[in-house]
Amino acid sequence: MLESIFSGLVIGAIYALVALSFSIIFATTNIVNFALGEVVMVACMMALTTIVTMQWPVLAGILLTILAVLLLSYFLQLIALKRLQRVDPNTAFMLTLAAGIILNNAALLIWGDKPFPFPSLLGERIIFHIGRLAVNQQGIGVIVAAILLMAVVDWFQRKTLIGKAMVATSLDREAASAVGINVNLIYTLSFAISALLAAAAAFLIAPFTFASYYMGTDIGLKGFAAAILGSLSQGRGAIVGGLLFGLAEAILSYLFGSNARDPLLYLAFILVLMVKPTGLFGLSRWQRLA
Amino acid sequence: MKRMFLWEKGFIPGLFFGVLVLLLSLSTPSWAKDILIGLDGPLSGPAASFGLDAINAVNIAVDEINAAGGIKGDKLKVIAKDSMQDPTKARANAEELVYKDGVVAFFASTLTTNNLASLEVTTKGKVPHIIAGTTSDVVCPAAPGACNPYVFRLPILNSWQAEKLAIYAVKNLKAKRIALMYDSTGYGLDGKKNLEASLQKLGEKTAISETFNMSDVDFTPQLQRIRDAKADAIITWTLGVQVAHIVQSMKRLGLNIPVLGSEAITEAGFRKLAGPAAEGVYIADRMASAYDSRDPKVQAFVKKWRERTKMDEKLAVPSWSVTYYDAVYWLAEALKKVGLDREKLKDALENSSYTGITGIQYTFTPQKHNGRSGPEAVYIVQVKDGALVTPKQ
Repeated sequence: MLESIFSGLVIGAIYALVALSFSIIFATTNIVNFALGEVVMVACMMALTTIVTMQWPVLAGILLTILAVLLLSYFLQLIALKRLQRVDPNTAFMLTLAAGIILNNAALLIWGDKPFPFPSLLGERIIFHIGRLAVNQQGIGVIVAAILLMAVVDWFQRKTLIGKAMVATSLDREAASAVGINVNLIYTLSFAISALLAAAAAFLIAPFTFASYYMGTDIGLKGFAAAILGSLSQGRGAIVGGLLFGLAEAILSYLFGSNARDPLLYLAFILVLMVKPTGLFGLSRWQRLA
Repeated sequence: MKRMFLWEKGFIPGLFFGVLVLLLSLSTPSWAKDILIGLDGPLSGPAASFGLDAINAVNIAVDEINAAGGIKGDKLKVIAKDSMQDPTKARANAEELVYKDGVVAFFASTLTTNNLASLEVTTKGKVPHIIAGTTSDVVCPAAPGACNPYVFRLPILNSWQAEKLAIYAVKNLKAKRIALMYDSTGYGLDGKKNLEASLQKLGEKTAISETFNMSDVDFTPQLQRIRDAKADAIITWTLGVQVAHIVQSMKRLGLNIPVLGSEAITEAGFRKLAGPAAEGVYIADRMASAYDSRDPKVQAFVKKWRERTKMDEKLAVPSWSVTYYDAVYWLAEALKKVGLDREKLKDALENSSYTGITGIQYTFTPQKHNGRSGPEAVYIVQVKDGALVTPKQ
């Protein structure tokens, strides 16, 4: 059981990162960015090309990857928001979905259909044992890195002026605008932070999943489900949702086998949302204002 | 005068036409024609590498045979069609090859469903349906006389692989508690059934059976259950990407027991993805490692293969490509003996015996359309330094 809990936490920490990046965009713009999974994929393939194929120094590869996802997120934001500010969020969903499909197919054309091995940047060695549980560098590294990143984002949102402006915008766009917050800048910023988290998730998950054009679909879907489970509009809720989702996956397949896992998981998911439609940690609009 | 003029007007084009006809008839003398062989395979899409391997191997053999004088002066020519993963397309391709192009023999797709779809067409058209890739039992069952009379298979069968893997785990690796890991597709379920039957034959029971979905990436829960069951070997039945995930998850868990797998994971992708975690994995293969063979005939083929595919030194020639190569020579031998008559060709093929370049014996009789014979025909290879070699034990 212990091993499954540990591996569930590792994968869950990555889901949490993706869930948080869904929630950051949703909280400020009311848009679900369905291209997010593909942003993870693009980050992963860029890192693969620069660090593995072209043998760049790791840091240079990471920097270029970050630059690429920032550019990408800027374009996504242009597509989903700038030109369509007066269009309803449903249209924006579809636009991000379309952008995701385009990215997915472009990646298939560029990198082909085969998965590639992706090196662990954190090391693969087993550090110590707790009973039979072998704790390895990769696993611990993922959990620590994810928690650190999420803590930084959380601190940024709660304590800095820009972060507070983001929260204010998410609560009431017009009012925020009226008190002098540059709403467009806030939107751009939230897309950028979300993309950075997605890139981090890519680096952390690729050694487990391998790098391929199709890797984004699965992580995108699960990150989104995790965010819904926790709370799509509350960053902390999304994080807990991600961890719970990863844990539940691992424990359910340990107890009941992998075929029973998904039906049980999504059944629980439906039950939770029936009882609490805003997610486990979701607040209604009035609670958020209070 | 007038008649003369008309004659003159038609003279120049007429002359051209006459010369053209003469030239055409000279360039392809009626006594030398191409003998057409059809090949269907996934040449694009996710399974493309299998079909491309097939074409490359077949073309190496065809070029060699043609350079050595062809079939009594006639040249062999391959017409390749792409059916991707679409059985309807495989059927249409077979129809075109059999009825329009009039091929003398048909190399079926490496994918089982596509193979079965084209089989209906080729056998109705009485064209020898040659299987050099597919190992699935159903396309040509092993029981005497159970195979369609126009179908011939050169590779080993899945059930034989399962039996050999079970024997190897029990007898050579001395495993007492064997765990099975198989995917939830038809391939995996078929493997599970065969493995369980084979273990039962040996008087052994499966310690634990674990299944998973093709999209799974973390196998910790399954492996933990396998560890709880105190298994001392794992036989997998799935594809390369999944076994790569399994051996990597094992490494992270610190679970150190032998892993065995079916022929599907001889493909280079498995070793590339799994990296060092693949070391030591035992794999059922249709022939002894062509990779550490010192035989000059094998080395010549491997050299040509590398030139044609620009393949990485270590990753070795896939063994199914050797089967395609052998199959063309086997077919050519029969063609030399009996010519193009379909009925005679079929009779010649089902009374043939041929030794492939790696020393493998293919024997066919009217009752036995699988060239190889039983689990004894299956070899075990092992991953060592990223290559496939004959294991020490």
